[in-house]
Amino acid sequence: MKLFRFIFLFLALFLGSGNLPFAWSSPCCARNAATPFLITGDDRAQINFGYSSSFIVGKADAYGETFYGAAQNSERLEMLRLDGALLLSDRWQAGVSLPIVRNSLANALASHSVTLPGDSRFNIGYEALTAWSYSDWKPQGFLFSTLTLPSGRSGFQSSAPLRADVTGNGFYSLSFGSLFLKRGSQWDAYLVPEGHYSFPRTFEMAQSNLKVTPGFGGSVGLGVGFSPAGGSLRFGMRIQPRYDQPVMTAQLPNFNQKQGAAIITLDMGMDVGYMLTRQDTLLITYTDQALTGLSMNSNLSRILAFNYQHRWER
Amino acid sequence: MRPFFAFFIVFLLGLTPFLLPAGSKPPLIIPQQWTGMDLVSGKEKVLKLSQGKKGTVITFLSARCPCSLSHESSLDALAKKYTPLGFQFIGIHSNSDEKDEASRQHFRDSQLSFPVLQDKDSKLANLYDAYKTPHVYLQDPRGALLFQGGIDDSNTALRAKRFYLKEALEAVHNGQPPPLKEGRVLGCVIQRSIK
Repeated sequence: MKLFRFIFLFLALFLGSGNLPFAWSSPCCARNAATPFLITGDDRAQINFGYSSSFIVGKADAYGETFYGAAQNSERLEMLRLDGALLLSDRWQAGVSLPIVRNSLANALASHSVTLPGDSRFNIGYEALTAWSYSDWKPQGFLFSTLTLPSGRSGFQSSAPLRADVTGNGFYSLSFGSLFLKRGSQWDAYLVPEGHYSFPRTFEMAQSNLKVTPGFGGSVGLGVGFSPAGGSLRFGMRIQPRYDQPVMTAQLPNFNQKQGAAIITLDMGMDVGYMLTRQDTLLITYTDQALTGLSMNSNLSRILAFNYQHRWER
Repeated sequence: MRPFFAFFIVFLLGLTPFLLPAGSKPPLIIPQQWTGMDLVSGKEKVLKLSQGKKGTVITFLSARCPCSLSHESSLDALAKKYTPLGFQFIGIHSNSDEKDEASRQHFRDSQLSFPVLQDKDSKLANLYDAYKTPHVYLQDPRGALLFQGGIDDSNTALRAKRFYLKEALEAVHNGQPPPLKEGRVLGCVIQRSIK
């Protein structure tokens, strides 16, 4: 089991985002987007409206033991998201992701529901490896950097019963990653290794201040897609291991330090995309964090998402 | 600190593909002639490199890709203008997922002023490393590659702001090198024959 975890961790590091990458593609005009806030096709701008509903079905503890269906609280997280990306020049682009989160929690005694902004993201991307001629193996490649702002409310700032107002991580975070994309007329594949650093932050608590140091993390998104007969329909599958360093907390002013446990999750998903027109695509994705018992120190969710993307061609 | 080093290594590994040379290579073997069924006239044709006194424009086209279709008339206009000036225009159809009869019908209907050769088994697409349709190659009379890329900078010819092929042809016609050697290719990925 240790070896298995080691291999998984290695994959998590090597193949190495908080964002679930997903892809849609169609043979026409090389339409393909591995992330909703990064333009990878023949477009100059794109906008994505997404709705997702996430149910927590279990929990993995710090030792990797998983518990399903035993939770006394039921928790559902719904997200409305607006993503946009715009070419700044032939190769440079900027993107933004603005979520609104509705958190609904209930136990035997009460239920609470709160709607607040989630953590917003701003992205810069550069097409470093162009695909201007055919290659059997050479992918199209992008470098990107994402700044995450703690516009959502974190667990350290929560004031609502059942912590229903937790809609974000609470940290400024900077990530660097690359996206490699390879596509044929009927298929596509992508790899998104990413590493991120979340900056320490001090939260004012009731009795003393709490300094929280999240540190480094990383993930890798790996996906494949197939468009039968090069048509408007695309079926995709993806996997994304993610690792986050243990969080250090220090009670100020005495600096009583505590170290949490590392967070490991493995998202696996499938999606179906349908290109309505050359500019419009509908996408349904299903993501499951509970398919394997490899997660550690994390809730295990099942997520169903609906996305609509509109693009403006070059 | 170990996770930090692990991520540093991952970051470096993630950068390695970017060390690959950007851009594309010219065809390894310069064809001196192209043979194949002309989808416009329905006849077998042999087209020689030497027929282009100033150069030859090879364009990979599709019978159904909207990006390719939208550029047919602008390409035809260039052919009509530059053929009398010594340039040879040749269309190549390499998509193995487009039915022969439908492709023949399309190119018969399109009435292009230059031949469109059927690229059996995608041999020419592989030789040129053609990626999408439309994808254009401008060669000098000896076969050297002067320009490769899109016809212009848009998916749709009517929206184009920069006209790569026209600029290249004009420059070569005036005895100058093309302003760009390579341009972004926009369009539909060519479905190559698996054989």
